[in-house]
Amino acid sequence: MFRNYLKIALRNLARQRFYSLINIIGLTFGITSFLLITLYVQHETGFDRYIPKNERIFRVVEIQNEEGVGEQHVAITMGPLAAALRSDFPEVENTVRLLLTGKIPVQYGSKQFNEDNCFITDASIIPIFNIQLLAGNRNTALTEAHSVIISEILAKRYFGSVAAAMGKPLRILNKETFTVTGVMQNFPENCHLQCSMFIALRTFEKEKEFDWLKDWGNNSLITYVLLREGADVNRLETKLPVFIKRHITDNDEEYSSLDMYLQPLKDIHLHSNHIKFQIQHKQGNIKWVHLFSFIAVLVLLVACVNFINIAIARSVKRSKEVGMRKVLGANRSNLIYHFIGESLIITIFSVFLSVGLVELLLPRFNAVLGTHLLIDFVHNGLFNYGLLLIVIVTSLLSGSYPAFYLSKFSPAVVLKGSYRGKNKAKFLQKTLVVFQFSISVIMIFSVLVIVAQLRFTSVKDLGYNPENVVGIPIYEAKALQKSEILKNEILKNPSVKSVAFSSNANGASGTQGGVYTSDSIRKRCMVRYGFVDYNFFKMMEIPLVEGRYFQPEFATDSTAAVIVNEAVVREFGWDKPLGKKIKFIGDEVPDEFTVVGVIRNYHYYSLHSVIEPAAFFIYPERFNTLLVKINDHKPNATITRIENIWKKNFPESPFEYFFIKQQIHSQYTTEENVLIVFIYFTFLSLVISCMGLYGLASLVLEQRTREIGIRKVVGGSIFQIGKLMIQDFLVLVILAGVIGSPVAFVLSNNLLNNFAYHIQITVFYFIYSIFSVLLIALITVGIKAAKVASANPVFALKYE
Amino acid sequence: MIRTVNLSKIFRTDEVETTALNNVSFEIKEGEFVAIMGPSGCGKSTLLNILGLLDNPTSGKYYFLENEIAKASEKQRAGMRKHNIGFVFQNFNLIDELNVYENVELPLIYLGMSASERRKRIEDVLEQMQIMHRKKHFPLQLSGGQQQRVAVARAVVAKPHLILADEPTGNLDSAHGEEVMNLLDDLNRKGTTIVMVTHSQRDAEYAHRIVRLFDGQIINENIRSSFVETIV
Repeated sequence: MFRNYLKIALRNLARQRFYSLINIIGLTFGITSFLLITLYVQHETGFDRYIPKNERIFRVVEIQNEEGVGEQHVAITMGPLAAALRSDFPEVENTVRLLLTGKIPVQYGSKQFNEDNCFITDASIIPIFNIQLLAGNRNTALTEAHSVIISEILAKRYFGSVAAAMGKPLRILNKETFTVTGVMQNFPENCHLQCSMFIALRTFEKEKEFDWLKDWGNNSLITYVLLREGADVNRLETKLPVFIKRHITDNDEEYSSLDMYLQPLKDIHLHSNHIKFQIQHKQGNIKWVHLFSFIAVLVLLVACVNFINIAIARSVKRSKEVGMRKVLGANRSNLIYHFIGESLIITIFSVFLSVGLVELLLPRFNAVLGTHLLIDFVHNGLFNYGLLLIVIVTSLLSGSYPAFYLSKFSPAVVLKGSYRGKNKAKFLQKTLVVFQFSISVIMIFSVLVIVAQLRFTSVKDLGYNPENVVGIPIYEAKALQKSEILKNEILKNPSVKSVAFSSNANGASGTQGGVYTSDSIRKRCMVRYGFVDYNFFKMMEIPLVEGRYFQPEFATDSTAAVIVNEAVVREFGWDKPLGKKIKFIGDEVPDEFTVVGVIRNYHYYSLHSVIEPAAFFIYPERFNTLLVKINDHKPNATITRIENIWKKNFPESPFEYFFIKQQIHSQYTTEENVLIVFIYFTFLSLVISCMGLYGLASLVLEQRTREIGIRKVVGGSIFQIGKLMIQDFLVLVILAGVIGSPVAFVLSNNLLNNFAYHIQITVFYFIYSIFSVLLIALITVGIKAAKVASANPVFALKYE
Repeated sequence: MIRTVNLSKIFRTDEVETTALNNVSFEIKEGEFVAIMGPSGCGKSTLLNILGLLDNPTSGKYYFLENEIAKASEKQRAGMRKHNIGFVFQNFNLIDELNVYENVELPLIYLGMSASERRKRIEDVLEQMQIMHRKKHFPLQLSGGQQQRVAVARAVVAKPHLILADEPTGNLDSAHGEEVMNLLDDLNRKGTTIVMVTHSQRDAEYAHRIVRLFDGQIINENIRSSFVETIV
């Protein structure tokens, strides 16, 4: 029996090539999209799960509530926290602390590199994160001071091989020499941490510069805990408030409000967008996972809907076959299996094509999303089950309604030749067309919104001018010692307009601390620290609201002056901010500073974040970026000359540079990638919907051939007849627009909520998306309608 | 074999009610060849569909092989149909995606017969219909007469007790039509009961009895042989 079904299905496919192609292409596109997204979702949700005991590993997150920033979740914690958690809670089996160093200079002999992803950490990193050592003793590799573990990549880069690396000296941070005591396997891509080097924290425990390690008021370290087997994390969390009170808030005025919780390791990658001060290599977002999953299901549904619609439309043609089979003895279940079998064959064929298409598209997909996804039938059993599920679900979804619908036909009616389709089925067809095009409206709408938001991010006034500003990272102190020499030499170049130094390219250091003012009612405020030189604000064209910029003529500017942004003034409620004094909570910088200027708020971070209060100081020890504003005529030549000056002064240090504008742009890479994926899937769903609509229109118009012939004979023009044929479909598309628009609005608003500053959705987006879909549908159906309306009426009347 | 008692069939749409059959009562004995004649729209095909268990009467009783059909479920009717009745249609109704062999094979597949037994039966019947040489051809590659011979082959391959033919020569020229009628006549002589709807007086001459319908009622019966008794 199955062979019979297979034979008929294949011959049907061959005979009805046009509709078969629509079905197969539609399903292939739908399944391809689904598979790509499945691989992506599997990858994103699988972060850190390869680590044994991962379900017992947690990251400590603080909830701070401070004036100026409100409630904020931060992943950085205090130095003494880890040891206190181990001693106070028997549920805690082990802890590890990590301090991200940022890019640091690493020297071996005459070779110097600037290395990223380096961490200062406890020896317990190895057992907790199950770090695999290719060389070295995992029990002792990081226990001693001045020991360092490097990755396999670094070992080969520096020493040529893993074995050759062992015992070698590395000069790190231009300060001290460390010994390579281990070489670790490169971190897999699906770990939230990407580490190329672990430096033993023990090295710094007695250094004065690291006294803050003992300070409960200083949050700089990421702390992870490993709970004992069977420990109840919720119960442990209920004990944390008492712990905090005992160790921290009772003794330290730094915190106005502090709480903590334990974030599961498996949640870090996707559920941490609300957390500040993190060290993840790549931050995922569960929102994108949900969104992409939703899109994948939608596109697959659109393809299945095509199948159903075309099957219903073809039912008139196939009704005779169904009738005959019943006459010959087939019962309803025979027919149901037959049609689901056909659907299964088409689906299996489409799945094979899809797998091939996925292989072709994966390199591009990976490039867009920054992943290394691949199809692995041998090791990815879940993917294979997923494929099987797709085959079953898609064939049932596509084939069930047609199967049940077709198998109900009464042979007496259909064999008479008077069957023209049931009203209920026609209503379903229309509903499905509306559904398909609603999805297209939603996707076009979303694409328009994302494009507009991205354009907004590129044209919005950031409050400063990054145009033609090149940033040169400074990793070592000697560059700062020679900063004036560097500056003067660079300025000799007529292509250079201005030079400045700062902490990071935007002036904000990335650290935060509490200040308070004693000039009115005592009030606290959490501020971002910014460390800039005399020239920074002028060069970046950040306007003054009141007062003045830092000036060398004022001797106290470098020791006791501060420039604040408008947010600080608002927070303290100052009418006259100039001359007000602020004090610092903590030992970061000397005690009291006088406000000499107020600058306009500017976006020192991306438009995702609200502009928080910021306070700027002259503090050269914290400068890490040299900024050079150049003419835009010959940037490469100018940069080459700067590089020569750099190499002349620092021959061992690699020269790096970036354009500030590009760096700002890279803050929106995620949204750009989402846009690309959205555009791809929007295009796909539109293509599938249009193919389906064309196929449906073809079948419906074919059934009206006699009517068209009669209308032509009695005088109807091509235009009049074409209009008549099209209008039914266009009404459906307009309805789709009306239904899809509110959903699109909600979805797009949700996307925009990722930004603190975003566009407003106006009526333009509704009009444009509905109009686009209408135009596309008009062209799709119009082509067929014109062809049918132009046909010779004699042929049409002979048809019956 | 067949007995109807006051059989009626009314077709209802939203606005129109059509009485296709109006209290039709008659009997057909095993081995008879009965022709049903009448003008277009008199209810011939409707009657044939009911006799063939393809449709239900609106009222009245229908006994087929002593079983009252009104009480039978769709599944039971399908079962009775596939074991006992073969159909021949005016427009052949072959499945275009299947070749001659496969078309004839279909009823046997639905009967659950094994492949080897099916092969034997099909080859026998194709030989009988003199269409064996075209067994791999598809319907669109055959002439009208050949297609109808395939249809007849399909109708008889399961060795049914009854063949229902709805204008079997309607789409054929006279030569091919005669061929088909000779086939049916031959089958009847071998014991198969045949009920045939026809417009053609010439085709009706092959039957033992002609039943005339008009506006859904039997108005006349001509018995052409001494085999049957008078029916009112």
